[in-house]
Amino acid sequence: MFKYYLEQIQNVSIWPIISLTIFFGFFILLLLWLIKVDKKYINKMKNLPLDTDTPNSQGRSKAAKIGAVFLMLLVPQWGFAQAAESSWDQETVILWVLILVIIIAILVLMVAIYTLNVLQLALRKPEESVSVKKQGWWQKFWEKINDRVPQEKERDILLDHNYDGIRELDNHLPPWWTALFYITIVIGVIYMFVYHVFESAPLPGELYEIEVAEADAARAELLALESEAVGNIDESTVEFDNSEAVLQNGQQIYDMQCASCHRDDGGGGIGPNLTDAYWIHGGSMQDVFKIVKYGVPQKGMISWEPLLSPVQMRDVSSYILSLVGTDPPNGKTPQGELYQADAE
Amino acid sequence: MALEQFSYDNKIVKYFSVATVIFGLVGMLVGLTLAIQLFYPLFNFDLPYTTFGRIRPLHTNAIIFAFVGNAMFAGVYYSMQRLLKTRMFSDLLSWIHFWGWQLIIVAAAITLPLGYTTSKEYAELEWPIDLAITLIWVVFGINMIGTILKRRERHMYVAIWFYIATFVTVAVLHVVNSFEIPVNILKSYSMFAGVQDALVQWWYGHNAVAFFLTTPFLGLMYYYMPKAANRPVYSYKLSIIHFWSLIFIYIWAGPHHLLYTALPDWAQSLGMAFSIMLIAPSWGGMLNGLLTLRGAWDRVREDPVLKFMVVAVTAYGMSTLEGPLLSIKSINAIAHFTDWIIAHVHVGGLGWNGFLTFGMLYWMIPKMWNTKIYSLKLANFHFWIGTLGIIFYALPLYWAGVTQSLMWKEFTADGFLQYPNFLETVTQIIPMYMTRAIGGGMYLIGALVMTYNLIMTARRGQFMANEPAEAYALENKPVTGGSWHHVLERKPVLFTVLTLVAILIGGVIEMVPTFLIKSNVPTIASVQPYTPLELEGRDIYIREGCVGCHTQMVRPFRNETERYQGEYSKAGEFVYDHPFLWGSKRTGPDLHRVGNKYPHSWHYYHMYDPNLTSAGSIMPPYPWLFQNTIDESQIAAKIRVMRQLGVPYEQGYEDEALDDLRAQAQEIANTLEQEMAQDEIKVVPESEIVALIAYLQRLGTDIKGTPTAALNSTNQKGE
Repeated sequence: MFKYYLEQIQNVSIWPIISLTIFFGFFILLLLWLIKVDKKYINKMKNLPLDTDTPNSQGRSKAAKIGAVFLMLLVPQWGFAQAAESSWDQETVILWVLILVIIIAILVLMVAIYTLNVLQLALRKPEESVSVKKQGWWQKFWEKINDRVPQEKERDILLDHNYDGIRELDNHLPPWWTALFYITIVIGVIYMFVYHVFESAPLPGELYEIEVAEADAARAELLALESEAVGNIDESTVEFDNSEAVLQNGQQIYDMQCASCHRDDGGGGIGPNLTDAYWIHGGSMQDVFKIVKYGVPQKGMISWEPLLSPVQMRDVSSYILSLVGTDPPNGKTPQGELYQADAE
Repeated sequence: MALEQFSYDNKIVKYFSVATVIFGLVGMLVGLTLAIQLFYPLFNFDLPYTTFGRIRPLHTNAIIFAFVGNAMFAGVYYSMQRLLKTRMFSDLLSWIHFWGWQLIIVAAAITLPLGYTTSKEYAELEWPIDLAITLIWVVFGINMIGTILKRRERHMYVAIWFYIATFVTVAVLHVVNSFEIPVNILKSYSMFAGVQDALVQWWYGHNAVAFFLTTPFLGLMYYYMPKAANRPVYSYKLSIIHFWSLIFIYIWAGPHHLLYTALPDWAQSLGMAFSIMLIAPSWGGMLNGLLTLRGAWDRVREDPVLKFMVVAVTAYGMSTLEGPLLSIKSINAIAHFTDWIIAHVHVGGLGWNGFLTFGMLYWMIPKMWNTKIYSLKLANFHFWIGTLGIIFYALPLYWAGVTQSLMWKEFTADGFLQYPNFLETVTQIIPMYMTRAIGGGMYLIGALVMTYNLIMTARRGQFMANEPAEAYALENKPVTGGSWHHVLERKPVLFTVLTLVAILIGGVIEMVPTFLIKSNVPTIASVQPYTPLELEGRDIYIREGCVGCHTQMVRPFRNETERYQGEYSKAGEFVYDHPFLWGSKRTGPDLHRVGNKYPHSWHYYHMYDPNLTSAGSIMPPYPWLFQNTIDESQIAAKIRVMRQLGVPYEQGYEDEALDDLRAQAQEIANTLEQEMAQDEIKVVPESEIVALIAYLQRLGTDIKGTPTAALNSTNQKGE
């Protein structure tokens, strides 16, 4: 569903650049901070993750809270499921997508902060070790969410294993980790149920149908507006129009859709040369319009009717006729018959 | 209870370490070459053997099997002897393993540039080498299990569990994914076709990452990290839970490489759901490693070994979170087929595997040579340039991936693609490709500095080939007690069997229905087997590694059906594709609907010099396709093998195949000459380019109902 939303943003390609700038900016700020930072704070951070003598019992309630936070972090998955059951209107989707993006951003930031902490440790010059008794919030937090036995009491949980000198402790599973595991399992099960048991959310094939139907509807609307404004244009009524607006619009369409086969100057490539006076299927405005509209499937020219509106087909046909006689260098040899305009 | 004297075999570790460093440098150098080719196509050197398509598999194979593989064996041979208090089971087997593995690597380094490939990612090697790998892997397994059986330590440490899982799973993966029928000594066709081949391949490919790059290195982490930090492992319980959950869940996640493809929806969903469940088990390993460092963080800033390991474990945590996120369908829709994935695997490869290997070598080499590291300063320099290298590598590629993907998907207000020309989205990201190459270059410089440092370390020390040790023999009486898992740890055979069961479940549940239930691959009546000429063309496509840059899978997105002008790809279209060629990266456009899109001459010019038809293209030219002629003597054998695989060529068709092939080639050559009359080009009907054009023009056309000339007469009854 991401794609629906992203496609609608103007100049969407600027966004990754902005986010990268923010990302880099964040790094540079932290680096500056790192150099300028108060020595006391460094000392505080020094033994990260620090030891604690906080009693083990307190860890539980905190852990529950953390579990709740993670639950919230992962809720969008549920959200997708719920949205699926009620409706798939775009705003709900956008909301959830945004939440998902924000969560991922937060996760990335957390990882970045953590990485910087590690790098900071590695970066600092060794100094006389100062014993730190006071704990920062992070160390307390870290100790608690991991529900771990303080280093002083480590002896109590040292197992009698000894493998080539490697000993093992019998710490609890970090509660937040266990919670994360359970939550992901629940999400996985719910996901499978929503999509394959209750079949209440669209799978890729159906999503595609929805996407195409929406695009078709948008196009029909566009066409209706157009024919209301300029009246009906087809191969019998179409007229060459060399007004600037028409040619400009025609050129835009030509560059985007036609140039890959007929070359950007009309000199021809895979498709025939459009700049000479020779035409395979006739060179009147009506003829050109007809070729654009219906195509010549056996020769690889596709029908543009499903893709271009009548006005657009008129514009691009007019632009093509405006190319006649420009005679660009290295044009393809003329094909077809010489066309001479009648009295019209 | 007798105290026994014995010795550890260090010589084998030394040899594997040397091989690690050599092949590491080679693999990285090839990687750097590839990175440069992407913005400077001249680096393809106009030689068949050095084009991107052929050396990409060389790079991946060299890094995975030669660099990481040898590092794994070095680390396993060193740690296993010490953890089990015994010498390896058999020195002879150790040496067969070592030389056998190096021969396989050399064989790969020769055959891949020559174009002998099955085209299945990380399993490109042809069938004789596949057999050799199986043999050597079994030798390694016997040596390992033998060592475990004659151990002097009652229980197996967690590192050993991971080694066992590695051996068992890689054996299963390799054997199943290598089911193929030989055509001749260096050519074979996969037993599976299309969707099924894709499922098996990515079950393999994904779990090669899991059980060749992850589990053995987790085992190594569990040995080298507590050793280097001199701290007890944080939690035994966590080891147990994360080991079993990791190996059980990992196996299921393969289909996340095939989201939005023609793979049945239920399999895709399973792949995504299990990928999300994989977050916690993966992080279990990271947590157990990082928390082990408690009280040792002071030393992290002084000791390069720990520094490397901390970044390695962090990179592991980052990429194993990123992986499941990328498996979420809506994110996958953006990231798949782009450079985002390349960045992702390199955070894992450069960060986790590379840095853990470096840390291990910096720790192990001084130990075995009985000395201290030659230069701490150089090691620190290596650490920093390596870390910066990873950042310079990954960040631009993330940017490139997202940029390109959004460009592919962008529509104008009128409902047209904003960038209908694929090339535009490529030229846009070339600056990012350049930055990436700089990052890779920095990483390589770091590895060179390490090589020098390690050589100097070895030169100042005294190598101890056989390190004396002593330990009590195990008493020959039954032991009771301990938790259920502790009991399991002293029963290696039962442990191995349980591991096997755990890793088989996921694969079986996903594969068996895809193979047996017909509705998973709905048949399409108009889909016909390839003509002999197209088959030859397809083999050229495989040989040149086109699949490395071009996908053949139009996904169900409006922007793709618009861009590639046709329906999205259906499962039934691939039933005769042995092997499947869906690809995993779109450096160039998708080709599944390229058939009949351009005249023959377009392809002729394009393959001769891509810039003739697409100015600014980064695709290398293929002039040799115009000089080489196809080997007509193989076509009968190919048809026969295909029929064995279930492709409905009639009995006896192999005798007519050559005539059909020549007729179709002549026809294409005539059309080509007609189209290019202006340039007065003479086309040799037997040349490889003609066969390739035949194949390209056939791609994805069956579903449009256009009959293919040659086969209609001969094969309609074959159904």
